[in-house]
Amino acid sequence: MLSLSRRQRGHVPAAQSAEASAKKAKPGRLGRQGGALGARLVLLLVLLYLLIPLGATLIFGLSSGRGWGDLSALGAVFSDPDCGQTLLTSLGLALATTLLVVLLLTPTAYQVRLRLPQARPVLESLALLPFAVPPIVLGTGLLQEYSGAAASSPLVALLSLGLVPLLSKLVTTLDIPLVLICAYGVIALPFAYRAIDNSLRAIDVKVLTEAAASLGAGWWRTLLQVILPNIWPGVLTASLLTFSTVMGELTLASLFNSYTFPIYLDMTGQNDPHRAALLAILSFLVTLLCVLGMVPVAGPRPERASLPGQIEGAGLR
Amino acid sequence: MAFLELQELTKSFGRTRAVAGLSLAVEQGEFLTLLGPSGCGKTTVLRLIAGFELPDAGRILLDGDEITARPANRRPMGMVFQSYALFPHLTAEQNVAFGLRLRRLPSAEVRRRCGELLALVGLTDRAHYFPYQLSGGQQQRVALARALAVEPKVLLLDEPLSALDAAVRVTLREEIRRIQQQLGMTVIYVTHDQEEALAISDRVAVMARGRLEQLGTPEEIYRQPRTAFVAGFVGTSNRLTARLERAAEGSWLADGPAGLRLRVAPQPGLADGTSVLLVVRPEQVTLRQADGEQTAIALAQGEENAFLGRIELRTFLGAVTRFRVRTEEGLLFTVDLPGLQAGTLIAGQRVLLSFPPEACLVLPLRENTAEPSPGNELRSQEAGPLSEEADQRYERQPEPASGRG
Repeated sequence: MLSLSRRQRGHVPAAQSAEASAKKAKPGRLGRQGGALGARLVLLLVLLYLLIPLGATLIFGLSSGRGWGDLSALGAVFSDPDCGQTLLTSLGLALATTLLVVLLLTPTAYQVRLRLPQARPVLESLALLPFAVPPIVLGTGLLQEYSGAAASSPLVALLSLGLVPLLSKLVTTLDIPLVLICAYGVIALPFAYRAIDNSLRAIDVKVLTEAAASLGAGWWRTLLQVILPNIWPGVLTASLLTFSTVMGELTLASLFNSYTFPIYLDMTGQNDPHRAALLAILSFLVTLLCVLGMVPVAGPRPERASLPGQIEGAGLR
Repeated sequence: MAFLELQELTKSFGRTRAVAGLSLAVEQGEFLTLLGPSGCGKTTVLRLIAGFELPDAGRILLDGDEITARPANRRPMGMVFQSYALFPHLTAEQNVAFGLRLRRLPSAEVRRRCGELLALVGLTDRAHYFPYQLSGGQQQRVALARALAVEPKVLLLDEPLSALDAAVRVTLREEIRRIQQQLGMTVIYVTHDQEEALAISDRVAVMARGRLEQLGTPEEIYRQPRTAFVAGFVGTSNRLTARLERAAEGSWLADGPAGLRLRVAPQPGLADGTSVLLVVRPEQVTLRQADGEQTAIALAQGEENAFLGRIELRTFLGAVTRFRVRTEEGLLFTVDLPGLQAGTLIAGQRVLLSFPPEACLVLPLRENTAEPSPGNELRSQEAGPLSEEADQRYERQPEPASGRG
């Protein structure tokens, strides 16, 4: 594809290119065939690496004392009301966390890159911090902070600019696990920030912003109509990583006494490992479906889109 | 009052002063070019006008209104960037429509104006192409149409042709000029390419070290530079420092390096002993083959400045042939001769090099000033054709042995 478009742009005269390719045809074709075979082999190995555990888990889930292919375990999984309820809870938490992370990080990363480039190292360090703090420490600390006496401490209120008392109040008045969602946001931060920041790095944020401003666009409009469409793959990656992180998170949910799907899975696994295996497969499929559902939202990038006259356009450069 | 006025603009970045008290007035419908070497502050001035930077001091007035602190998105300016800055996710038509949609114009009106503007820049058949499907020149045309779409009061162009190849640059600069004249648009154009500046501008503002060195028509800038910097930066020139003497004789002589004496036109107002920079354009110098008798006569008559020398280098440049000639006194001259005059002159040949006193531009040496010394009247010169190397930079000028002015 690359060589074709280059030729069309006039970098390589067609005749010269054809001659060169004719000279190299034999070894080139052999080389290409070898390369394709190698790539297929690697792909096959990767697929086996991914699918064998899943297949084994499925086989284990469907095999009980009555032999392989026992679908009663599957029926039991779907008949248990806790299954659907915890799955919905996890999905809700994952969705809320994803929204929080994307809505918070995208404008922040954009603003930092645009106006405070000197703050980028600080933000990068902060984004890596969750790797250094185990979830159990994070969960315990947050619980102490928001549920304990610390929430009413004037010093904490001052240091947190009033956010801790406010969130603490919201936690008690609203029936939403706000602190848990925030905690999930913190553990997803390293993946999400990196994905969004990398996308921002790929475009000239400053010049695009100035171009939009010269046409009359303000900050928000520039972010939504110019920057966001161009970093959408990064935002989508951040969303997918956050979503799947939350769907599989156990420690924080356990500490926050939230009955999520991983907790249900863990509890089930202690009594019936076959059902737990089926639930693991179910969890995988639900996450996969959600992820696949998100991909079309991103839409095809212009570069990959099949556009009318694409080839002709390249040829007319 | 001028349409756009910059009053004592100052802008520093850290300890670097990018713009130092610059004042400038631009008339409506005028094409003004800010010309200068890299780092002279010309782009900063443009960004101050656009509102991307705020000045430390000074005021910007547009049509009588002060816009100094107005945000960029509320200034009636259009901007074309060196890197095109097209929105990658939008087609050419959508890029042009961006500003129109922000103004909530009806869809039919947006389509109509996009069509008109794309036709204006000759890209009607590329309306549905994405930026990556367009060549550099085409992208810059789309950027131009996009900037024009919002009907700005002033169009700002920041080195819009720098990223393009030479042939496209010439074509596109002519198109920019045509469109500007067709629409009667006020344009401020930034470039470091003097040929580009001289070719398309109504007036040129030459900048150095954040200051305005000279403001004038392209002809004035080339023929009557007012500072040593402008003389060196615009066009190719031979320069040497000298001291004026024998003022009483009317026709002054300069005491150049190694006791060399040059005849220059009278310089009323300049005192005897003043240190000056003499500038001689390459096209003002003539060369002819040195033969004994004629050469002796020419040198003896002394009406022109004449020197014997030897051609060191002959370079064919198309419209002119450029010679590098070293005189017997050790001075190195650059001489441009039209094709026919270059004739049979070849490298290594002994020649008589001469130029009339009127060909010498005399600039009193006073560095870091935009104004010449009081009373100095620069001599008008015959303008020769701009050579293809007219964008030769000050630092790269071929120089006489006396050193730089």
